[in-house]
Amino acid sequence: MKDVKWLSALLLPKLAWTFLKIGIVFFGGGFVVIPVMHRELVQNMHLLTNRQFIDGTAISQLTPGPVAVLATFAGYKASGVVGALVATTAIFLPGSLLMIFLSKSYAILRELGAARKVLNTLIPVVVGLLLASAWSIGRTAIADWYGIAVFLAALIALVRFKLNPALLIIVTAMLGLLFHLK
Amino acid sequence: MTRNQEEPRRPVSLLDIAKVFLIIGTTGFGGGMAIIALIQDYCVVRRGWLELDEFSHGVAFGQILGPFAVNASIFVGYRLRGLKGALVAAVSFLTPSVVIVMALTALYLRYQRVPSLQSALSAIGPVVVALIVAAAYQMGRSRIKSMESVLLVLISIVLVALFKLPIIFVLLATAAYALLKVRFSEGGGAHEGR
Repeated sequence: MKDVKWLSALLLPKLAWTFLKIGIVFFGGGFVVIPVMHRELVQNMHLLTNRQFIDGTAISQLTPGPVAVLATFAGYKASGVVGALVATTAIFLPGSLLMIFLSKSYAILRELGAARKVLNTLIPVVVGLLLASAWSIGRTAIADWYGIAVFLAALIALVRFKLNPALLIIVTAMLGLLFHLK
Repeated sequence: MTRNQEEPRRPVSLLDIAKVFLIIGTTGFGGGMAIIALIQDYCVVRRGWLELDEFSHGVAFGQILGPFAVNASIFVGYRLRGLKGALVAAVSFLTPSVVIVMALTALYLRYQRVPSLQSALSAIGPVVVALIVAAAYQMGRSRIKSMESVLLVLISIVLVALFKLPIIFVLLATAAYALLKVRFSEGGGAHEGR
């Protein structure tokens, strides 16, 4: 196996720190972690290949949890069960602390329109980030006309017919298995 | 220790919270709103742990903040039993998913080079890209209407994809810009609907 080896005493702290950083930018919906994690884990740290990132995202979508459980996948890849737990805890910690703070003082925050306005301005940027990472991931994931067709069909199934993502992934995987489509 | 001043603590045990969120975390396939609906069904409708109104506010904040099923769990847990309740709810909700991901990842890392699994996985690739684009669409659909927001989308794509600027920098710069804008519009009078 030619994967990058991640064996050092500093691995766990480094994992924790990386995922804490990723966890800080948790807003505008859980999917914002996709561009952030893709940049950090694939392009900067080379912890995952593009292919593994795609597969990890698919695996994360098979669970009831948010797409951020991709951290569990990456942590496991880096150093097994302990790595998975460290990465998962780290990525959810910042957002959870903030949410606890908000739950505590939600009566005040209901009135706070400014925060909402700031977040509303951030939404288009998050959309841009998502599209950028879809592009960069798509260059690996969509190789031919067949890929484009699957992409479009999946997009319609998700947006128009609100198909369950887990179901969509399982069905596509089974079709791929059956027909050995490459 | 902060006490909740508005209402008395309801007698909900941590065990009950754990049970409910373990069930939701195991059965809540479909993500996003499907899970919010489940939480609402279990905690508001069936058990009357929270008022619908209170729950909706929690969801609204959870929604802007990110993984909002987790945030909604934290909110419910916190309103019921404070910090401990929040922790129990979030951990219970996430545990089934984390276990599933670890099991699948172990299998994946062992068998990822098996040819038949390879073809199953490469079939999934375009679906994952579609998931990301669908998330972008659902997020932007109601909020990207003005010329400004369209420009922001384009600018952020260029900055990140072409110039490879750090993502955190792009987000912080936008937040700063938005803050300035809020300041400005509050000084200048009432406009800016959505």
